Formats: sequence, structure tokens, C-alpha cells
Amino acid sequence: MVRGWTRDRHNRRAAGGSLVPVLGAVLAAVLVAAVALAACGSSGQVPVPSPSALPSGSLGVVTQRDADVTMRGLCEVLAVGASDRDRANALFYDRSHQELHVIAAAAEVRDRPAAGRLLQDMQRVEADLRGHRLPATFGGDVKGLIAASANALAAIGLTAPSCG
Amino acid sequence: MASLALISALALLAACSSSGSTDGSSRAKDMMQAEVATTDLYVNAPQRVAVGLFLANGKLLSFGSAGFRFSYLGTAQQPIAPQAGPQATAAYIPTPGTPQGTGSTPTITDPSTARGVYEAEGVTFDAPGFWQVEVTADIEGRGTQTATTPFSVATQPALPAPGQPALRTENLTIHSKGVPLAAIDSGASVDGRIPDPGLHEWTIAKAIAEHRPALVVFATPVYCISRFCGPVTDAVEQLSRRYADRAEFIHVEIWRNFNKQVINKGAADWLYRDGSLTEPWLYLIGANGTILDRWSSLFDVQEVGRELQQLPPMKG
Repeated sequence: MVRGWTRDRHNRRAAGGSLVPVLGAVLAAVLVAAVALAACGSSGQVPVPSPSALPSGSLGVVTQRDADVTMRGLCEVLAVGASDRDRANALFYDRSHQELHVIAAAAEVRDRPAAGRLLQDMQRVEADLRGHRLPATFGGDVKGLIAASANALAAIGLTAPSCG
Repeated sequence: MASLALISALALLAACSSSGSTDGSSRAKDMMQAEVATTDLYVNAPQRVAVGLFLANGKLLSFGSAGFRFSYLGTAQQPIAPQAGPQATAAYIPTPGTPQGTGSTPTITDPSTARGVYEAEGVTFDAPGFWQVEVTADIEGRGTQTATTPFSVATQPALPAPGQPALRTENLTIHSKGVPLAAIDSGASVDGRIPDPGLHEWTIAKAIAEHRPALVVFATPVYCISRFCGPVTDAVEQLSRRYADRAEFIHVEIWRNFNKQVINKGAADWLYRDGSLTEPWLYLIGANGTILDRWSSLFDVQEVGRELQQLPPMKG
């Protein structure tokens, strides 16, 4: 499922350093994105928290299969290592990148610090990949991202397959 | 809530009709889908409308151009049969740092190869309510496909818009005292330093007070949920080098504290409405303090460069 053009939306409680209670108002466009991207085979409902609902955030639902595919992609990036920048870049952006954003969006609803760490570690890896050559820290940065991803998945009740 | 229900129905209709993606078959996975990427559209003013095109299998449509046909669908209270509206040719706008491509034909690409949106300029909507855009693309190797997606148009812009006076915001800068670096730029949360200090020298209020044009990007490079924020800020930094004599360049970080969900006042002043905030946004403010232009989500770097070039060189 691709959710590539949903702009970041923050339904937040605070502004300007002073806490301001805010109800979770949802703009129409968010709804369009959420519904249109929930795939036609779904119930067509905007994700609403319920005991049976799959974990979801502003970018949509995360399934265990999504998690598995995403994590396997990161494991492959780790296996490629710093020796092949283009291969690592393709694996990261084609297999994992967008779904990591979806996982982070789902995690921030339940465990904001976990989502924050995931996004920070993504930023490190993305910065590595922007260069023509990968830095020596690349492997460690990917390991950090794998750990942060597993932590975020745990926060939303999903498991992360181990690399190996 | 009625309006939400209506647009939900419209969205479902759009997602499941013309693009035929209801059955999960391989054919359905090859069908183009569309999603409007522009927010805060309003009536009676020419605006940009950007649409992302993709396939259900995770591939994206990139490069070339696509046709947009807009139709009015009425309001929540009075829905109507689609009524033909403006038409436009939409050009491909790449995410900064990804290729523009050549030729006029949209191509199916992997995200690592290219990613962007198709944008029509100067589109004017004459009525508030719900609209839809039918996108037609002649896809390389696949032929012509269409996809339809709905969106809303308001009576007034919710956010500051062209022609309005810019808000004289005291955004955080590298000179702000007692502020965590990550509140000035979320990039500092990664490696402890502000990546683009040149974008954090000026407040919007000071630029207006000194009658200096300003290009202001509101974005959170690290905590952005979409894929655009980081590259967008990088693109503004590159523009700041080329057009340093035309404007001041300012990055306003969204988050004062991500973990505690506290938004910076500078970002809230401009973008926080009714409990929601959208980003990234890019604003061009003239020397007289009036908003000259704005871009939602992605922008054409060359177009922004042209608008900067049209500004007279600054003194001092």
C-alpha cells in the first residue's frame, strides 16, 4: 500500500510552548487520504481505535505482513553494508522507507518517544545514503534503525523478525 | 460530521470505481490511483493543485505530464451530479534531489528512482464544497489510464494566503536563549548540531520590520511523517545560496518538543488551525510584508528560483 503523498498532519494538544487542549479534529483531506489509501477491499472505514483494529496512525494501517516486509528490507540493507551504496539505497527506499513512516505514524499514537527514535534513526540512514559513498558508520546506523523499528513495532503490538 | 461522511463516500467511490482496484488482482494492482497532495484550497483565486499518482503494488508514476479535469460535486447539504469545471495539464514536480526526467510520458518507477507529484497551476474553483479531479495519464508501456479522487474547497483559506499581510512571527533562531537546539531545528536531535544555521538567523518579524523579502519554510526535517520534509528544507538551503541577495531564508521548525507534543509558537501562528497542523509549507513574503506566494507540500525549485530572481536585489 502506498501512502506517498499524505502530508504530515499533526493533531496535537499543544502549541507555542504552552499546553493547549485540542480535540482531534480531522481535516477532510486527511480523511480522503486515509480512506482512499485503506485499499478498496477494506471496510472503507476511517481507522477508529477498537480492540480488534489493526494498529494505525495518520498514514494508515500497519499489518504484521507490512512489518515483516519492512524489516526484511532493512536486514538486506544491513547485509549489503557500506560496500554498495546504490544497492543499499534501492533496498531502503523501495522496501522499507515509506512503510517506516507508516509505522512511525502508528507508533506515535501509542508511544511517542518510540516513534521519535525511529524517525531520528531513519534520518541518520537517509543522511548516510545522500552521500556518494556510505560512511563507515553506516552499518551501525542501520542496526540502530532496525532496533528502533523493532521497538516501534512492539509499541503497536507487532513483532519484528530478526535478521539472520 | 455530515461532510466527513460525504467525503468518505466520495473517496471510496473514487478509489474503487475508475481505477478498478477493488479485487486485489494483479490487474487491479497495475491500475493507477490518485491522491490530492495540496491542502487549504479555496475559491476564486488561482492556485496550484498537486496530485500524487501511484499503483497499488507500491510503484509510483513519475516524469512527463498528466491531464486534470475538475468537477464540482456540491456540498454536504446539497450534493449534485458532477458538474464540469476547469481543465489543466499538470507537470511533474520531483521531490528535491530526485530526477526531473525527460519526455512527456509518465513512467512507472520505484521510489528509489524517482518520486514526486503532478501539479497544475492557476486552477480557480468557483464554488466551495467538494470537488473531484479526474487524472488522465498516458503511461509508458501501459497506455492511457484514468483515476479520480475527491477533495474539498473552502470559502476562505484557513492558513495565511497570497495577498494577505504576513504574520510578524518571532520564530526561534540560533540567537534564541534557553532553547533546546532541536526546537530550533529537529535535525539537531540526530547529531547535536543545527544542519543549516543560515536558515535560522532571522525571525519573520525582523525581516518584515527591515523591509526584506523572506522565503520561509515551515517543516520538521526529522519528525516529518511524509517523505518530503527533509528534502524540502534542503532545497530551501540550496536556494539560499543562489539567491542570497534577493531575500532572507528562514526555516521554522514545527516541534518545540516532539515527545511532549509541543509545537513551536512560530509554526503554530501560521499553520495550527482547529487542532490540526499541516506541513511542510513554503511562503514567499515581499519587502512590504505581504505574502507573495505559497507552496504546499512539494514545490518546483526552479519556479521558486524564478520568483526570487524577480525580486530586486536587497541593499546591505
